Amino acid sequence: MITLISSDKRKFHVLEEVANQSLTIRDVIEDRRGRRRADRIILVTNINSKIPEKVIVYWLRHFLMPEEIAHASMSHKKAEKLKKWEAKFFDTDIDTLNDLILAADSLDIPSLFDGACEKVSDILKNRSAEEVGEISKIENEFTHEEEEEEIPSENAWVWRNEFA
Amino acid sequence: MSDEPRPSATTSAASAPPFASKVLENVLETVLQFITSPRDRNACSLVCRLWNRTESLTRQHLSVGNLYSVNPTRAVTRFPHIQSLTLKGLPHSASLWSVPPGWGPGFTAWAKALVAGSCAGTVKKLVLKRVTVSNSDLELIARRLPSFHGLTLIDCDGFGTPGLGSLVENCKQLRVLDLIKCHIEYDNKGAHVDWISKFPKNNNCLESLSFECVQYGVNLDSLESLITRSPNLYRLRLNPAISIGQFCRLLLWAPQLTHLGTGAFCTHGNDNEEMKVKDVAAVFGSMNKLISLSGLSYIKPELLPAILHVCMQLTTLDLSCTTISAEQLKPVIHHCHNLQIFWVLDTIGDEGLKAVAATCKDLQELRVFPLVLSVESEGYVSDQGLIHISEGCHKLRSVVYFCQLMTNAAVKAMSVNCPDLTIFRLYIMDCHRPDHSTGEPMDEGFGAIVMNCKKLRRLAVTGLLTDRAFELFGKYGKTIRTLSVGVGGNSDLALKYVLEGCHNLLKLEIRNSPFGDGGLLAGIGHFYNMRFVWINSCRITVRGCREVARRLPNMVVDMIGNGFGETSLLDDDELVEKLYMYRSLAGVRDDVPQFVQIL
Repeated sequence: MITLISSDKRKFHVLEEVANQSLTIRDVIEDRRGRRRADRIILVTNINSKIPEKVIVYWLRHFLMPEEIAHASMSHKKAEKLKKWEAKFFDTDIDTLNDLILAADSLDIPSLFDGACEKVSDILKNRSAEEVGEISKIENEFTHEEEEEEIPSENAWVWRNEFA
Repeated sequence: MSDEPRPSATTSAASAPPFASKVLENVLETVLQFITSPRDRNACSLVCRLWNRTESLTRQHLSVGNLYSVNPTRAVTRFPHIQSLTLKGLPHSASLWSVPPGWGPGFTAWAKALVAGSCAGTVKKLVLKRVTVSNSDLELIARRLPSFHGLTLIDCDGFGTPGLGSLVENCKQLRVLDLIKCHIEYDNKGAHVDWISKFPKNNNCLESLSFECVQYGVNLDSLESLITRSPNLYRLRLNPAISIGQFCRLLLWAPQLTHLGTGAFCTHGNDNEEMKVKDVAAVFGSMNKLISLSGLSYIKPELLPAILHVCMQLTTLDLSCTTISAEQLKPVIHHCHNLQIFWVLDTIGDEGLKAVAATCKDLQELRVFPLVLSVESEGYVSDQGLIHISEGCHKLRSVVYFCQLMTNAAVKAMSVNCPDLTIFRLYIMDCHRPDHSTGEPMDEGFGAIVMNCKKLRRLAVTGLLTDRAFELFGKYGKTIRTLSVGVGGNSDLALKYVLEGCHNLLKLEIRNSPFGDGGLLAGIGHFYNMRFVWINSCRITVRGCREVARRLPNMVVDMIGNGFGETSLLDDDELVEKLYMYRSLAGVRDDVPQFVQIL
């Protein structure tokens, strides 16, 4: 059993085999093998307590069939079920998704990272540049230099997909 | 307790999202990887500089609707890692109603830009439509694009078997070579190259090979060897030079095909290879994955029962290269319950269409081409056939129909029974004909189409039409993107209705209509929203064209006609035979032929 501690000091106990889905944690455990029990405590300072809960839920669901996923040999029915479950799991607000991406990035959980990024991309689809900027909390720092002025007209005249 | 917090924080989740920060650029890259539609990617490219750069670097597919609309070097500089590129050249009508040979649009500038840019290492696939491609273009891309493995040419010309030879020889891992409706040129010496034999012996990754339009015979032994060493081959479209006997020999090696073009369905007069139905049927019997069948040229009707085995599985059947009667079609079509796409010649008659309507309940696309495309021809299908189809096939999305006799009632029935139509192209070959039963113009019929088909994207109209029809198009045709007019309207007003009313109009093709400069200038405020305007044999003068060019500097006004080419000589009042106008950021193209004058 290992213990994760979130930035707001909450503790989460989780089976080592389950937490091993994080490549970062697996490496840490590997490094510290044979040492004191305290070494099985891992601080995840950039993550608030809401997120470890979600990550652990994700781990538990995937723990049951990691091999099968890796080998893509999952039965069609099982795969469909997992897909449905993931759709529900990622159906959350953009801030939570952002936190999940951060957690997945620092804990190195590729499938969680990709899944959360894909969900973010879904949220950004069928929107104007302004809306995308707003959702992403980005200031548009475009000036009206010559090269940058070309981009919008190029987008409209040349690369536009008329059947979208 | 660990002595240092691991893993360490990289950024604070409370501020800007991770994909917006420079620290985690891989997040933005991953998010963008899931965004594929050009529209969405265009929006992302306008968010900020970082997004613009990341989007440019990660764009994999590029589609350019008019290859003259941008400088190719600019395109590959902005998107340096594209893997596939689709380019379109001439407008559809321009190729249908013939531009003079040599007009272009040439692929050469793009080929040079592709091999010179950093995308040279990443480009894998090219799709070119209505573009002139030279033999040396083909050689260039084969030699200088190391990852290249797929070429699809649709309605292209300019190349011959020497170009194909160097393509397949130099492109070691070619997977796709689809030549569709291309015009293959003779080389200078009148000889041709045995290109099929030039596939490297160790190329075993071919997936798709189509050469229906290459008129020459091919080396059969080389083709057989190629097929036997290509386990991934799923599409094979042979040319009519290949007889049924040869076809059977080749196909024994490829039961895995899903898409097949048979070549000739006869023996080419060679008595030694007299084929029995059961031999041909055995070949088809082994093809249990086949879903698309075309070819069957010069069909011997007694061989038709051989394909009955596969009819049940077919979703696509293209008989547009073969003459077949209603009597011959009926036993075949009765088995085609799953057909979604059906192309055929009008020789099947209204009766044949009735049989189609009775069986093919899932039909989504129907094209009926004329055996003889002529103003005088009476055609073999009429309004009756269209009525049968509309009553039987409610799922139709796309209809192309060549005929001579049509009624408003039939077109109206189509619009009511098939409201999901996105493409409706009706060609009454003698463009001046009214409704043959009432003598009225075709206004109400086409009007019903724009009113009832809410998803209509493309409309081609022919037959007697007054300004009234165009008024209806402008009023209801808000989703139309492409409009082709063969003879129509009474005045400039018609053009004005369409240009001002159809907000989504991108492509406008008109011929033989009484439109003059007044109609043309009504579009001044709209031309920048459109990809192109093509006007053939109307009443546009050089004055009107000059006015458009003056007021819209990014509009390239390409006038085609005899004696054009020297600006100063053209009189303002001279009529412009063919006019092709398009918006472009690249300015005037550099491959302007003699007979063209660009303003």
